[in-house]
Amino acid sequence: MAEKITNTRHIRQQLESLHNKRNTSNLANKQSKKKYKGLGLNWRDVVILTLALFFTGLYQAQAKAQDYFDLEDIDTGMMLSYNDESNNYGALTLLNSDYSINITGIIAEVTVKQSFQNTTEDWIAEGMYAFPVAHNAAVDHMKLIIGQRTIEGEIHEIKQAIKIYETAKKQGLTASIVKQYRPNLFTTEVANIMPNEIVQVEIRYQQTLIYDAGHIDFRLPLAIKNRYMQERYLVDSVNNLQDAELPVSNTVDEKFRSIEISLEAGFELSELVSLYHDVTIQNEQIYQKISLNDKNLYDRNDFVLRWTPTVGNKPQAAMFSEKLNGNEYVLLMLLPPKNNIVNEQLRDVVFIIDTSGSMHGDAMNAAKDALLFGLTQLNANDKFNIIEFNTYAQPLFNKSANADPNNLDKAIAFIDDLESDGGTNMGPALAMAMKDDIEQNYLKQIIFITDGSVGNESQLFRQINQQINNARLFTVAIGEAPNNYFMNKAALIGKGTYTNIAKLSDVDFIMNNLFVKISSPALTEVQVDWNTSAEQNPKVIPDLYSDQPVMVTAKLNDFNTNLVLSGFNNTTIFSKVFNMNKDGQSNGIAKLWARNQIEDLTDDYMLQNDVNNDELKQQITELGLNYHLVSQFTSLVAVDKNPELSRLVAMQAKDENRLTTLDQVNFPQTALGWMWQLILGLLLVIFGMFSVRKQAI
Amino acid sequence: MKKAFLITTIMFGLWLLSSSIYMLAKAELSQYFIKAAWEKTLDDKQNHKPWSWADTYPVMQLSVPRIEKNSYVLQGGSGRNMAFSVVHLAPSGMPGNLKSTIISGHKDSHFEYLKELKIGDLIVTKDKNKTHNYKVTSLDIVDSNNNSIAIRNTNELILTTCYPFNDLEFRGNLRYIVHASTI
Repeated sequence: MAEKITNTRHIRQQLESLHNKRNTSNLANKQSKKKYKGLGLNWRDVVILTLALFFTGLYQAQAKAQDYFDLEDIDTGMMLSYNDESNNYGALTLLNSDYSINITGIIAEVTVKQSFQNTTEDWIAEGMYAFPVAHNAAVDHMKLIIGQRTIEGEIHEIKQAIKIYETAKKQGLTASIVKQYRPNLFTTEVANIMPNEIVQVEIRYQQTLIYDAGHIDFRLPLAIKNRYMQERYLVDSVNNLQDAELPVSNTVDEKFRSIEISLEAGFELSELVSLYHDVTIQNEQIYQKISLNDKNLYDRNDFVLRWTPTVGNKPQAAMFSEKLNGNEYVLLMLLPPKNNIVNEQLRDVVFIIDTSGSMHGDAMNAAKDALLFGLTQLNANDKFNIIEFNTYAQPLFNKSANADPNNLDKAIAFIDDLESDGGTNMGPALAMAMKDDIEQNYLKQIIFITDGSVGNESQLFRQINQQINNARLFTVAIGEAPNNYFMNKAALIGKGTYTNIAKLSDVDFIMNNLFVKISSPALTEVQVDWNTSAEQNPKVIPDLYSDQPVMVTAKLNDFNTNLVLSGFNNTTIFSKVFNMNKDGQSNGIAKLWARNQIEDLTDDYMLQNDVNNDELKQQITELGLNYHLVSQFTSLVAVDKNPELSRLVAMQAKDENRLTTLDQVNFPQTALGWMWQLILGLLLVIFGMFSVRKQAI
Repeated sequence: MKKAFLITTIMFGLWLLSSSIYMLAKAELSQYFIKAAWEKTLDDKQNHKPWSWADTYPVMQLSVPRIEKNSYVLQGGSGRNMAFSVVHLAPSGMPGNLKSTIISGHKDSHFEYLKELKIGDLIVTKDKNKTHNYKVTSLDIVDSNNNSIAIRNTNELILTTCYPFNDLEFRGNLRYIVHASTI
């Protein structure tokens, strides 16, 4: 196959390369038609490189010839075309968007269906669909329909996935391992879109919603930057112009945009509103159906649905369940009371402060500030102690002492004298703090302030697990780059919470929030009696605090059981019985349970160095495959369902391309060679004449 | 015996000399006939053979104004035609059509001036109907063992000759290729 020579490179350079080739061997001369191919990159790499360039601020892309297109501006689902000549992205025309959402408690399962049209007269060789997803969202389904082609995401074991990807690449097909270029942007690629062709995209993701100040928000990314919409589609979402002119759609569905939400809040609601859009709300038994009224395609605002569960002075609990493949999956959700009553709980607060060399400087000062602030939050009848540790651990008192002025003075002097030096040996300090010496009716709370540089995580986790007893461990990390994994997991095992103070100036604010929170847990000793064999996650249920709900998932073998949720609200017993056979119609709970399980097993896998690794790996892989989830060992690969057709389309795309090789001719021999003949002839004649003369003499 | 060898050497040398001069003369003198035939073609829009026993005819005129060079292009890429002038390769297109036009010539005669071309140079083609302007977009050297000339669906002009220019070698595999796009 002959290669086109279109590069305008320096002649000298070409000569050199040709010279080298001639001298070594007659290796096939593979001149690339794209410059970047010479670097051994495929176009996906180029996209990544381009993105990298963009993020360093060197790159600006252009859309549709007249507008600059900026990848950072992807705030809603978009189909982009990549122009390899100009290295730019353009946006395809959006035809319609359908969003279908199932919300269970604070879990949302979102299905997005969008259609785009290539309204240009050119083939799009390289396209990309991008959709902004929340940080904690997991995409588990992806499907692209382009004409008769279907490209669908499938979960495969990771080696298998790579094999599929590589095979497809070798065959010149589009396959892509679905990935996220930045943590909150989902992208997938599609090749060869015909002029005027319509591309349908379908993705599904699950997301945990944020509970904040008593209400829960569900947000759907719809807002599009004004400069990417055609002026005539610009609709003021407040006025909802009815006669807004919309693009002509070729699809059967005449609705240009629809949002259908099925909300199973689990609690009575005191408020349910759409913040920026006009919606219709229907009540159906345990569900609320919410649908969007206007069909405007383009929007300036994201869609935000907000609801506020009615909560009193007691914690609230709700149960959701899903029946799937002979199992019952249960989600229990505990909601904190709105106005938490002041707790009469007596507390024994033990502060552990890291005074190792790594804390030196600002971190040490911030830790001291945090500690001093903590002391001011103690009630007179609380007990407290301080343990400093570096290479060795040193307590202020042998045993927790009353928070009286005398003891507090001693504490302040102790804190003043703290200096950072030595190693980080957490074990002895933790052991000292967790010592089971709690007096009757006291709740021991350990507040562990450190910069979180640890190496022996698994050993510490084991220690905490064994020694925590009835105490609670709250980890507080100082600095911007703590070992989040350790801090989080340690708090989880210690039934406490993790707090990060990234900016040293925020110490007081964050510590205040922490103390307000932990001074009055809404529910402690939470337990669930499943009355059947159950795989529960998390294994240890944390206490319920005012700032966030507690969620427990489980996989049960039995459908007809009553389960009992219990705990302590202050000193009174809280308990609630749920009858299991009441619904089983919720969606996404099995998936949520599996996600949690995978997370736990992956943590365990990371911790164990050699033992049982294969077993864990297999468990994770099986969960991933069975529940269609991406994990460390499973991957979502876009598989072309009709590869033959795709190849055909690719070939057509080539034919349509403005610069296509129609035919090839060989180079003719283009040297007369007269110079060679002239010179040789002259030489022969001169030599002959000379010899004749010499002979004659 | 020795004398006979020397005489043969001289004779061979003289033959080489005269044949090279013949080649040059043929290349040079034929131009007058080709030019005459071309002028007739421009006149009556018919194809005219430059001489009665020729199996080709001039199809266009090629000129590079900047270096004041001019070529008459003969139809058909045979070696015999190339001895008289530059040639238009038969499978390729004609200027103005959406098909590459390919013209080849000898590096040591009619297309020697290709080495003087620069990117951006104007090349004017004139067929019996129309003039077309092209601009040089690339100058490349390629190995003819591994490459052929792509005829594409675009209005472009491709000029090829052998490479390197001032080298005695005349059966080399390197080619000099000039791409010019329509303006």
